[in-house]
Amino acid sequence: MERSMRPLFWPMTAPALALYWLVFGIPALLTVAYSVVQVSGGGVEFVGAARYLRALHDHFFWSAMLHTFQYAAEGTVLLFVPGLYLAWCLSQVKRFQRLFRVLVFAPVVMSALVVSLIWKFIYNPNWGLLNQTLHSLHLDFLARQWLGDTSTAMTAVVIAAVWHSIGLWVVLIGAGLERIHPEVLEAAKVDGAGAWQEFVWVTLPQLFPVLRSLAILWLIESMHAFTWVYVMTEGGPINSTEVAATYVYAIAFQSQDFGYATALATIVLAATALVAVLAFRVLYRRDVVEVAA
Amino acid sequence: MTWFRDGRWMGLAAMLLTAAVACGGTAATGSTSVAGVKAGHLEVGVLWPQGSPEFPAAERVGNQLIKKVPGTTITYTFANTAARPKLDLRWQQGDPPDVDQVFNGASPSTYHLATDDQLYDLTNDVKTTQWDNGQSWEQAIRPAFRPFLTYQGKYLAVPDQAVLIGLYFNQKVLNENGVKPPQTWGDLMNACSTLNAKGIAPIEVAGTSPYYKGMWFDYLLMREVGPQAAFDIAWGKTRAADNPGVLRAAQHLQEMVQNHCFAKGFEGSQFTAVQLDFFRGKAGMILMGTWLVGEMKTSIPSDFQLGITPFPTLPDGASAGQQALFGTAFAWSVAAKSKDPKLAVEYLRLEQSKQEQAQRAKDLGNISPYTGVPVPAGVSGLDNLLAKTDKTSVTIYYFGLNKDKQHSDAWYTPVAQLFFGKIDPQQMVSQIDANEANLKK
Repeated sequence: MERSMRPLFWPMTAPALALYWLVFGIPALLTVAYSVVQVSGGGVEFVGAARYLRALHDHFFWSAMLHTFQYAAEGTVLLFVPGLYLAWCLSQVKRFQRLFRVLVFAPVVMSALVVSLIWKFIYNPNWGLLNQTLHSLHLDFLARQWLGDTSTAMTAVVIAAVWHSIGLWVVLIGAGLERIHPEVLEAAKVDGAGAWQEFVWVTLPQLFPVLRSLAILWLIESMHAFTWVYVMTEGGPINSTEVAATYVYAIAFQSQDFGYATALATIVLAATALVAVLAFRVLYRRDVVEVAA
Repeated sequence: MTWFRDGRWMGLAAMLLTAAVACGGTAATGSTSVAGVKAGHLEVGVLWPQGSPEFPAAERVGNQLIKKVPGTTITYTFANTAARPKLDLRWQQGDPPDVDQVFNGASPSTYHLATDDQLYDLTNDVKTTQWDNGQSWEQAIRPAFRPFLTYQGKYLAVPDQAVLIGLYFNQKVLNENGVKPPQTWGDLMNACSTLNAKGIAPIEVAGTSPYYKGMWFDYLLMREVGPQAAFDIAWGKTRAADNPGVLRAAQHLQEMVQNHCFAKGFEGSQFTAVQLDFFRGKAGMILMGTWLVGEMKTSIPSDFQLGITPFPTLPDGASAGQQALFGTAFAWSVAAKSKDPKLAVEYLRLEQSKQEQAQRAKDLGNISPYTGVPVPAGVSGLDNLLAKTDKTSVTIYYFGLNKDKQHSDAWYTPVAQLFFGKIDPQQMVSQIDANEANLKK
């Protein structure tokens, strides 16, 4: 840090640090603390690692964790491929670009609760828009019990979440595309690169820092996926969409077992941190390798 | 001292004597006497948010209390499902509202409130206070609902609403197709085949809800093995495989699924949608709690002929289970930490007076757990169903498992798999035992 900037360091960072500790640091530490004590009616008793040992045998919890990773993986595919494609398409549009951006971004400003309710009705097997559309197109064989079938429920939920979030991703990737110097693209064309080669070998590597940040954000967001599952399936059918967040919530507020819920929340927190660190390291190395090359 | 000499003291003495007599008598619900109750502040839980059409019912009780105990102030706190997490945390932290709906004597997951002495002991109030019909408060409560209020002989809650799970039917649809409300398993199977043949869905069920699907198996099991045995199996106290009735109940459920008793597409249907379909006349029957009418009040056509009948009997089942019902009492407790427990009890006495209960039955469609209060109009068979509680036991619906996520998953996940045809009855029984064994590790 430059010497002239040093006097400004604490005045500038202290409010953010205080806020961070207030809304994240202290609650996170309290969560860990509550996971090793029994609080009831004002009394406190130390229970040690008992709840963590209990969690080891809780196959419903580990199944929920597995579904969480399934949600993250499906979301990554469903979000990034169309997101990238849409952003690239928008960058090619010369007229009404802002209008198209607003249209793509519109779902982001809607409440996740409202969007999940809308999709829940779209997926209704008897009178939902999706099956009705398939019937009217004589594609009855494609109609499904979207939220009632264990093989489609999770994907159906992820599609709703992706539909809601994709606008933000498109805008951010679009901003990344705009930052690519036209000279670089021109040089690629001069060297004889076609549109596809230009996209794969020039545009994508230039976008990598943006995509890396978005990937990490999505992974973290996936670990906390709650609203979509809670509203659309409540973890069903047959627990096939139960994710870590809905399971922990149910343990806390359905079973009123707050102590065990804090232990599970701590495990989820640790898993989230681990996933974020691993993802960052893997993606950061690739970046370094590419820059070095 | 001229007032003494001119005899005005006699008037004062008469006033004091009248007041003493009025305050000294036995308190009676709905009466104007409130012995030993001092004005204070109460925070009471209510099931309806302020501004809702039902909220005035709570306010009406509060206003009566304020009138009886001048100087009293009341805060109404929304205490229904959406607000439970916040309130449950308050109980956890030792800062509960004075009156709340937190305890159920048939739900083991609420017993910690009793063992931690967080609830005010209402036993003396319930046993000594006179209710409007001259009986004690306790005697006025229908006996079948009393177990939901007690823990180890102590009254820790008093009820303001009874809930029963029964088989609702569309009288018009059944009449038009020559089907009678099913009384036995055979009747139910006949109703399924007859309605199916006419292209009408026999039964609506919300496939996305583990509980609404699970109610079918719960009732079949209770008919097969009796209420106590069913409760013990559901909570993992005894093994499912050790009681052949569990397998038989599962086989009955499988038979229903295979005979297409449930509406097409039930697997992906949400409960509001299926209830709407039922009231649109798309199905003959729906197994549901008596909250159905209040919940769907605005969606029930005025000419809809709604009836309710007990769950059909099973000829091969245990005799103890044939008439038994699922249900509960919605009951209110007073926090032991309340600064004005007597005032809180007085609030509950007013809420549960005969007059208020009758008014709620009329306005809100509530079923009263008190004797002599008429059932809400508009549902044929409801009075018979309630009267049955005088002759049989009422087991808490879902066996109270809905208050315990892990036991609920252990029980209802295999049931859902059977419903969806993913496993057979034998596998379902094995899976229940495996899940319960896993919980005990």
